[in-house]
Amino acid sequence: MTKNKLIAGSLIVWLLVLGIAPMAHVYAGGGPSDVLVVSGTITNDQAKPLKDVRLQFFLNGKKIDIEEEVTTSKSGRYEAELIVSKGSLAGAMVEMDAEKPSFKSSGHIVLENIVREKDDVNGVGYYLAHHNFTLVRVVTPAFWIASLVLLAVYALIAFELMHRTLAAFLGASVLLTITYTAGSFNPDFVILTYEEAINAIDMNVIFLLMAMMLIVGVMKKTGVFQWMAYKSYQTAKGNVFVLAAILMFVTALTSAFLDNVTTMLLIIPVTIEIALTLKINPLSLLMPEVFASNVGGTATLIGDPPNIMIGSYAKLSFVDFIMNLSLVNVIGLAITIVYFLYWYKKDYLMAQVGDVGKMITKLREEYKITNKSLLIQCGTILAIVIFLFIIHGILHMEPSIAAMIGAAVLMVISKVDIVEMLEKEIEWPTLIFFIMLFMVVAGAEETGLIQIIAGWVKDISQGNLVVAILMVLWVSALASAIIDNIPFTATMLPIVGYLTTVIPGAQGGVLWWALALGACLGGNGTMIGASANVVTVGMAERAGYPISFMAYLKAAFIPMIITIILCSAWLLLVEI
Amino acid sequence: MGYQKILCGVTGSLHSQKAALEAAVMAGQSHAELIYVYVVDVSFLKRGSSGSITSGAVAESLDRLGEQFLSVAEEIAKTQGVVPKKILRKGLVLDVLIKVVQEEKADLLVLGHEPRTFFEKAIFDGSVEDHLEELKKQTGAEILVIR
Repeated sequence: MTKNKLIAGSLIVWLLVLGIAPMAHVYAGGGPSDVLVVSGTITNDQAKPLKDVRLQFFLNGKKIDIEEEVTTSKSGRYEAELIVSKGSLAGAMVEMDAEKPSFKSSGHIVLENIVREKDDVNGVGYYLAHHNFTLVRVVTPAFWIASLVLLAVYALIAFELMHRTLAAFLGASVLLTITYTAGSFNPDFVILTYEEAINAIDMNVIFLLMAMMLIVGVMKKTGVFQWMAYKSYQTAKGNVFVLAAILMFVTALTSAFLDNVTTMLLIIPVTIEIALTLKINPLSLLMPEVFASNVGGTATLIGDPPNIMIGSYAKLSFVDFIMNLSLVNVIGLAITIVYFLYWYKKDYLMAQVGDVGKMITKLREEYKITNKSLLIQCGTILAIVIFLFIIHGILHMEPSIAAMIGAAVLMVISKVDIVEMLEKEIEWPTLIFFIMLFMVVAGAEETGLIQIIAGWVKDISQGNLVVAILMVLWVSALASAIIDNIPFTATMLPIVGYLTTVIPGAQGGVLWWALALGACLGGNGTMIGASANVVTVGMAERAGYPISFMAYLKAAFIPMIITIILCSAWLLLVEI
Repeated sequence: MGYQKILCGVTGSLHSQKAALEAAVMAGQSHAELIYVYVVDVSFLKRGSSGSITSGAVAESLDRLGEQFLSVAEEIAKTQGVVPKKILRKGLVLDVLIKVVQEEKADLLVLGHEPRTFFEKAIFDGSVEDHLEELKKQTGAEILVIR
């Protein structure tokens, strides 16, 4: 009993100590104290909040000791609780100093309008001060290094001197290494801290890509894609024009929900078989298909990696993409179907249709649904995932969460081997590429290159929304026809983000749609513009039907330009 | 001239089918063993934006295509009363062709001439004749290009 009383007594003492301790503000120098709470927001000269700005405070020229370093949050906000000796604030000069690599130090800023708020029961006086200000960017060696690294990564990818994942990996490593070697001695060499690098990775993009790869990986085991191609042939009943149109439609629809490369990989063998049976060049079916695949992929949030990146960065929902991009892409698809039917009409007219019934029987045997119960499971899960995508805005749920739960449940119910799925179905080089690329672009953003480009774009457009829309759309389209649209989009995200805030009328998000349409559809222009194009051309070549760069350009560049003209009209007439 | 083993590289092109037929005719005439080979070569993935597409998925798709082409070639051979052996291998076209010719001890390699096709790009880096000689030297087999 005595022992129990002792324990209870000790607990009460500890609780009292713990309860009182936070209430007592003890001035570092000992004795009674006052508390000054200073808060505010720090932005750059483009009014963008600055995170990780380090702050110091001074009382009558003497630095105030603070236990924890005061830095700004992601929203540029800071709040410091300064404990000073009792009565020392009256008539005193309180100053603050803000520093961030790649920015000019604020120098000593005098805090005016310090307001006395209250005195607490212990006699501690509480004072408040608020100060918002801007830090001016300076060009440091870090700026040149980060710019050079970004350009080098672009060059290594564009000229195919290095695997794109390795190029981005190397770039990110160089930025971090310089920060933690030269940057340790001279802040002018601080490009990107480890924390900034980690924060730059958009995990929503990574998880969404990964989960969709897993869903597609299970789904393709059902044989449904090849079965759809066989059904197209059956529906066309030997009419090659109808067949080409149906194949384009099916490919576009599939690509809107699944990635374009997988769609093409699955549909190419059956298309080539059909083409060879019809005695026509398989490219006359494959070219329209891959074009349609890129158009279909543009229509949804999950159809193409640039859209995933844009959606995540700009917080645009699946429904936003459907509402703003699906109709223009349906029109674009209709136009390209007509274009390609005309372009390949000679090939189609030369087709030797032969015994359609015999061919249908052969294809039915060859391309049947291999696992019906798995198909039902996949279909159900995909429908649920799409439903969650549709309502993810209402639930404030990142799209990646919808895809992750779908992938996880599908793998559980289908009893697939998770290790095999992770090894075979996930394109780890793609995911690593994204991770490293986010870091490289963050380096350019932290040191100011992206802001300079954004400023140029704003100056050229003179703040005119129409000019800005056309610039973003056409530059994205032409650039994506030549270079990989993923690094291009990653670079454009902060630029378009800035333009959206400063150009009058752009706040509705029209520039994001211009970027999505340009980056995704522009890839149609050349054989290297999109991954699906490279795979299609490569596989056609391996089938004995090569196409030269110029021949591809001749067939695809004009319809690409037509779709971009259509998008220009759409953005200017419908989206503004 | 009598051959013991004839090896023919196939794709889905018309030239390739001509080569497959010619090889079958020659095999029938000289009672030689006929081997058709399709090479699953995914080296094109190094090009353009496809740098990070996993080669496994592409190879899987090309496997399916290769099987189709080998079946077509087999049908062609059967019209000449020849039952061919079919080989589907992964790797670079040139390397695999050399290896298979050596392994099978083929004395004739038949290829379809495909202007600007992967055979020419992969094998004939310079002038066709130079590489034919080189291929001949490395394999010891005679090489016939069907045009």
